[in-house]
Amino acid sequence: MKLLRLFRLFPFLLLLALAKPALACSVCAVASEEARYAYYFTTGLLTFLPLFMIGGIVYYVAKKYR
Amino acid sequence: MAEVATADVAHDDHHHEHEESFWSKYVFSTDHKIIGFQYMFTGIAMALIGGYFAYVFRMQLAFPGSSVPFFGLVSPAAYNSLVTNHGTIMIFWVAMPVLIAAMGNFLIPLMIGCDDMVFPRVNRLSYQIFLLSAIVLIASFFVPGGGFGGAWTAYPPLSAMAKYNATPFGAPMWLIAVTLEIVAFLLGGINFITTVMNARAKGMRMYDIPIVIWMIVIASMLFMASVGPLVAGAVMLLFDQTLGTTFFDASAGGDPVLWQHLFWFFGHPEVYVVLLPAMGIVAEVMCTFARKKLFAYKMILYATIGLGILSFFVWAHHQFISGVDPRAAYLFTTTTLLISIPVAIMLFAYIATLYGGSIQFTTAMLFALSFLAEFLIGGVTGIWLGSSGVDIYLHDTYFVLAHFHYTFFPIAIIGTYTAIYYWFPKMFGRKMNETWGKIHFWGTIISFNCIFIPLFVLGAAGQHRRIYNYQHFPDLAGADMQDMRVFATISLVVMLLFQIPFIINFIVSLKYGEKADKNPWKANTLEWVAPSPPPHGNFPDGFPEVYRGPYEFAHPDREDDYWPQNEPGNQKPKT
Amino acid sequence: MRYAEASYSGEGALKRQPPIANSVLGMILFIMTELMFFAALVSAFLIIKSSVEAWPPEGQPRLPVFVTAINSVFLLSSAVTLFLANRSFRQDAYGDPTLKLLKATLYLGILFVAIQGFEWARLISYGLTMTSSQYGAFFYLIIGTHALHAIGAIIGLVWLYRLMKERRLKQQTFSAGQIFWYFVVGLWPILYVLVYLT
Repeated sequence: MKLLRLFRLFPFLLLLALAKPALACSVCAVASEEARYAYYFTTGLLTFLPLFMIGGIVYYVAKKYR
Repeated sequence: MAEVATADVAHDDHHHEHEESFWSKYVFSTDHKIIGFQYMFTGIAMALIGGYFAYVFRMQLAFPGSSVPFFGLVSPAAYNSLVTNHGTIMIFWVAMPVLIAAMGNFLIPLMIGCDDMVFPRVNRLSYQIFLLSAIVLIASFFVPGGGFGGAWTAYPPLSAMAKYNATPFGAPMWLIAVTLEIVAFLLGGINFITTVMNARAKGMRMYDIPIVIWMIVIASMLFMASVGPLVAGAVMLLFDQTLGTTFFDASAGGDPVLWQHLFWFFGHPEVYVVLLPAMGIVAEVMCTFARKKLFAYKMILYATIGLGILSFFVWAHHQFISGVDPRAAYLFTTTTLLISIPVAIMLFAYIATLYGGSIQFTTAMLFALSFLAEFLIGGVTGIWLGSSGVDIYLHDTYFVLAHFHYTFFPIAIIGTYTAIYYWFPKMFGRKMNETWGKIHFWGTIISFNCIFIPLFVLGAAGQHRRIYNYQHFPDLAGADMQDMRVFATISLVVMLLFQIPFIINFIVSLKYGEKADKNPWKANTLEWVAPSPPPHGNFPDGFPEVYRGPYEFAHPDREDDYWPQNEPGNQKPKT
Repeated sequence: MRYAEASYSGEGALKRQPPIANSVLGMILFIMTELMFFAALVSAFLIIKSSVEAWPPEGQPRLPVFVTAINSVFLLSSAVTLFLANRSFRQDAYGDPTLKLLKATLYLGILFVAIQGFEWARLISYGLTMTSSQYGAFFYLIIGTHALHAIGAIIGLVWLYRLMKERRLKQQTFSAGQIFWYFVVGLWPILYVLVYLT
């Protein structure tokens, strides 16, 4: 029952409720819904596009080798 | 030619009996070895320029306002320009050309057992574009206004508007030089990946490829996938500078943080692009001089691939205080801390490779070992910087600078020296002098640490980056801090002086070094099968066939403590 | 993970041709980089567009949506003719149908670029330039980059046509050129929708 020991942390975790995020990002917090959405979408696009492309090429090459 | 490897299929119009002039043999050659040397010597020349810039601005910092010998008085604008171009040159014109282009070009066909790259003329073109980029950059120092001074990160609006940066010609030229250099490396990367995939020797399976080749291939893929956004940003910045567009001008609907994202999306994978070849070189050298198999080759390979994937997710750790969403900072801190795991796995695997080995302390091995130690310091300090909380204090201080020099110096400088000391016999048919090599080694390493440890202390004490004279800041002008700056500068001068033995050693050994046979280090990989130096076509006795992995040292079935890949024999089942 | 038997065929004889030809693999890698480049341009476009209040902004000429739609049909048809040219090439490499289809592809591509250029000239005369607004800047940046790639693809096709006429065009070279053409064509609908229609 080592898990129960984790519950000792619980009161400290409550302190997190006191913290307020400092919403300084002018695009993400203050500006329009559309702008925030655009930032998240394009972040995802640029991050995952190379991974899928490279993954796709590797898969294609591996298939051709078999 | 006894056998035909697949690379030959690609250039079947290649003749072997033509008369070559000096120009076609050394200047306009399509031979990968010559192109490798061209990159290497250009890279070394640019390193001298970059090192000179470091000398000048450090002298300014240590003795502000005094005239620097061999330069003169350093104005604030000159300081900014020196710092910017030092960084730019060292990353784009030293680390990348020497580690990737020079070593990749020289080693890949030799190590995989073929006669040249699959696109030799594209290879030559890539060097020509690279040389042009270097010329454009150097030319930018001599135009009115001087070289670009907006830091190698070139954040707008400083970099976009001449009214802020005062370098109306230097700034666009800098951008054009960087873009040309990127194009050159794209062409090179295409060559490397295609050659390694398609032109390997008979019998060389995926896991028989030496780890340094894998590292260069993965680095090339990382580079090609990440550099698109930088080129896009550079085009937009160039238009802002020259055409008056307002892509990054907040007052006209643009967004300066957009540049930061585009730059660092490339900038972070870029550091792994330079790291991987250096780690590969160190692995090769360590296996040979510990006479031991590389520990957990597959684990290292998969860790590298994991590193590559993760490297696309960490870029905003350079932007923690630029106003990005703090919730995003949670994500990027987590991924940044995670990315230290694959690197740690690799370093531990290297240490495990050494364990129980029979270590020969040649100069190349000394540099390889020092890579581990110095890079470890760099990596550990990166963990502090990757935590957004601590980074709020440390961002833009000398702590960051010391961190990335403790990573970049092992990569670019120690990695280069390791490679040169190790492969010099293969490149030129002679060995470099070991005694002078050791003098060079100890002088470089000790003085390197003396430069940057004070900078960690200064950074933690609050010294910001990119300031040309700290006497203007009362908290940073104290005598103890200034003493550290002077100490660091003197150590730099000492370090630069210790490079002289290396240069003399290199040049003298070219002609008078001890003659080297094919395999002076008794290593297993295929480049040691070719003569030293390899002739045009690499393998005059026919292309080698591969029967086992590249690190079969101290095999129980063998009398010798090494077993070259191309020697047939008992084919033990692979475990 | 099975080892990749790089140089052995099933019977153990030396395999001379790799599974993916050199030119094709090289071109795929090049396309990957170009795709990242366009993705970044599109990302920048989406971000700036969403931060501005009015899009398209006041006073800027509207883009020729209808003419460009027709033009897009020409470009897409050029991909079809190129595909047919490849099929014809496999059967009869240097025969008349192959050459004709390749020429048709070339003409359609040149027609596309020419009409685009004509429309651009009109837009500039109406006051849409790179510096007139973010709208203009991104329009010329993105569509212009695509146009440059289209011109590059046309030059490539001309070179392939010459090789074909001299009867020394290898399949892998032809495939590599095709891949680049399909890339230029395939990218166009995405750019059209994002830039012209939204």
